[in-house]
Amino acid sequence: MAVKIIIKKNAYQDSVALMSISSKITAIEGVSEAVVSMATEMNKELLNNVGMLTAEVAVCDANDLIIAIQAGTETVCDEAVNLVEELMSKHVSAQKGNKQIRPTTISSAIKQFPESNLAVISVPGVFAAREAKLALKQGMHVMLFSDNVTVAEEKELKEYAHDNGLLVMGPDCGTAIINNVGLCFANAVAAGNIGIVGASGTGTQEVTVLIDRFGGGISQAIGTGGRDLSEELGGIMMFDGLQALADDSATKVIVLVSKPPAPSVADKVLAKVKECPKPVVVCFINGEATPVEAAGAYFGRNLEDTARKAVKLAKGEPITDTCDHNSLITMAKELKSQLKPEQKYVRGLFCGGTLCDESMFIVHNKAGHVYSNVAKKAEMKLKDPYASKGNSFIDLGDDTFTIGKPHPMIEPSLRLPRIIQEAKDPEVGIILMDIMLGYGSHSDPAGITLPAIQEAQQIAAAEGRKIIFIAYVCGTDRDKQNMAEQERKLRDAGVILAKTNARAAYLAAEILA
Amino acid sequence: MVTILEASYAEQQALQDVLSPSFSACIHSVYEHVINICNHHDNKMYCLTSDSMDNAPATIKLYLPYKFDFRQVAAVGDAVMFTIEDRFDSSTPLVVHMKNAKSWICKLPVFPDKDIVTLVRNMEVLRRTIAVYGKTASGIFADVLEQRVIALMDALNSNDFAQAINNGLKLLGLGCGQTPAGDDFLCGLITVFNMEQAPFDAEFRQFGHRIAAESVQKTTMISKLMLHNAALGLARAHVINLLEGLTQDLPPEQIEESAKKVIRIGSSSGTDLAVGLVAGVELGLRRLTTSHKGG
Repeated sequence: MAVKIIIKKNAYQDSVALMSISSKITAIEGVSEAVVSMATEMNKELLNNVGMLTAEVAVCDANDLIIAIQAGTETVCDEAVNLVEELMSKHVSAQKGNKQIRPTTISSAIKQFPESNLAVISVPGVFAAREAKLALKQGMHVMLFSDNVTVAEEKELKEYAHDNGLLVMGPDCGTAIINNVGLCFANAVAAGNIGIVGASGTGTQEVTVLIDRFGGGISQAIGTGGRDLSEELGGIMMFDGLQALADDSATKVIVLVSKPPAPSVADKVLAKVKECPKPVVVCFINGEATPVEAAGAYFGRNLEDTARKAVKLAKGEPITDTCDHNSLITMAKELKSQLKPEQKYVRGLFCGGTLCDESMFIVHNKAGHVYSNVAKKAEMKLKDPYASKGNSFIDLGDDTFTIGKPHPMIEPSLRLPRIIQEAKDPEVGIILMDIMLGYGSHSDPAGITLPAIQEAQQIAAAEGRKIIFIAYVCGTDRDKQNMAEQERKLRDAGVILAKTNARAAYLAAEILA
Repeated sequence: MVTILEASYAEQQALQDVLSPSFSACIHSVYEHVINICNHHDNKMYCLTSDSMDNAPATIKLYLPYKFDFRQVAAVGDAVMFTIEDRFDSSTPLVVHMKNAKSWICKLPVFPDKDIVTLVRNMEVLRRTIAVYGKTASGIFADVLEQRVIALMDALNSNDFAQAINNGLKLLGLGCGQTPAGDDFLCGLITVFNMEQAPFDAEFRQFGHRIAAESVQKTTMISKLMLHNAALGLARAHVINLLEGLTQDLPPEQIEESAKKVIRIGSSSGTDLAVGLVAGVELGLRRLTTSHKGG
């Protein structure tokens, strides 16, 4: 057995860094013990008890850092020591006088990178409006990922931007694609001639990935933030985005995507659409076809239908009724036979708000009343977002669940306890979920979710039930998460995979109907 | 190069201290989100933290909405100046502008001796949250820490203060991290002893002062500051909020959220601190129950 000790005199490394070092050393094969601690009397006593106290360590004081490594051989010890030195050199104190300048303000960043014209801002909401204003005043467009910005602040920012020919994408804007560069939660999609203005992050994601899948490509995807089409904001950025795409020579077809807008704002947007010289496909989730068609636009019945129509228009192909869900009916009958009579509900657990909305309305219109934590209508609103009731659709990215926590698209493990909770309800027959891929999403959302799916299936099986898991993987083959592998993992776990979010919801609805 | 940072909040005493004409300090240690400074005259330490952290004793929060890395602009030994002036000549490497700093007063809540039922219920949520989200000690420290905590609590339960001090000293400086786990536990425990109307005699607070006094030689400077503050009844905002919440009829999710904020302090420090708080409150509850029974 070999022991090596590293002593760092008066060393101040934060505890997280020390824990990280400790766990990395312990993971080296052949290391039997690794102690990273300050040289207090008690710690030295303990090291003595395990035979790791050397004369050198004995004279250290409480403000000295000891890294004591015990391994099977000298070679392994040396390897561990080298690793420690390498890790610690990454955590050194300030290097004053080094030439690399790290901007700490928007103004200094612009000085460093004068060619930049877009600021992506993700800071706590209380600071976000201030930083966005600073960026706008410097002539930059803004993508405001931050939420918790007030309506008044948003209005002020957007009015300033509008007056100065700039875009404010947000607040709470998670997805944009500008000049083929995906921002934040965007997916890796083909470039093309279809432009999108979306007041809906995951709605934009779904449309862009489906356009990619159906053989089309994206010119620009401009996000507006979820509140843009409210009465108070009046669609400022939706109008500006629509105009920008109308003026953009690379855009041949325009798509508008939003959760249901305020009725008066919807009217104004459609009036603007009517003037647009380019074909426009409008998808207002659960909206009506008549006003859209009266404005001379194409009605996107759902996000899948929207993407198909956009691609057909871009290719100059005739528009047909693009979505045939009859094939789902046969599958639904077979799946329904696996459920007990009392298993009459679906629980939708979503990371994406718009996908939750779309699914919720599909099931509501087809199979009966649904509840949701994000429903606008009082009779559909879940009283307690933590307690499902009947058919429930939960947007886990809503503020209720994300204050002080990462978004479930970044950390899908936040969904796991809810999967287990729903599985314990004997009236639940279906659990429906989205698996979101893309630049900003978790590296393995399916893998993270699998243990909970398996545990849920075991819980149900122990009670003589089966739960049907239906999932939709929103992504492309180019996304970093390896879409095929994500789908394989889910399929191997017995999850039914749908080709689009709408189809997943239609399948659930057919099972329940 | 001079770096000028703007203070958003300062603990009340710290605010007075740093603006006193005789205050003279330099940087003691620098981390990504924290700078510790030391006053030359009395060796008292203060923390400069980013605005994303909670208020704390002897702490000044700086208006830095980004994940600002202090190590880029500060080095150990650099002098630090605090001023409320808008214009100043300075060759001091680090200047903290205090004009707009709001004062934060550290005040522990009252120990609940009336609504025991609510406290017991909330304590259950707290224990569960620690069990789920806490980070337990591992390696050579784990068993020893547990044994010594049990020994300490047994002595305190029995009002054997001589033994309690012996056992407490065996926890001092024990464990990993800049604030060893034993120190974090003691900090939580001593904090509860100092709550207003807590059912602890003066010996319990003296226990805290003794531990704080011994910490000068036996543990790190940062732990020493933490234990010293605890003995004076000073705690950081997340701890105060958690203790306040325990006494109120709040939804479990809120208690859980407050507990998680404490647990997230440092790496494992928060967990150990929370365990110390639980031990202190449970000890207090037992004493209340015993006194109600007339025992």
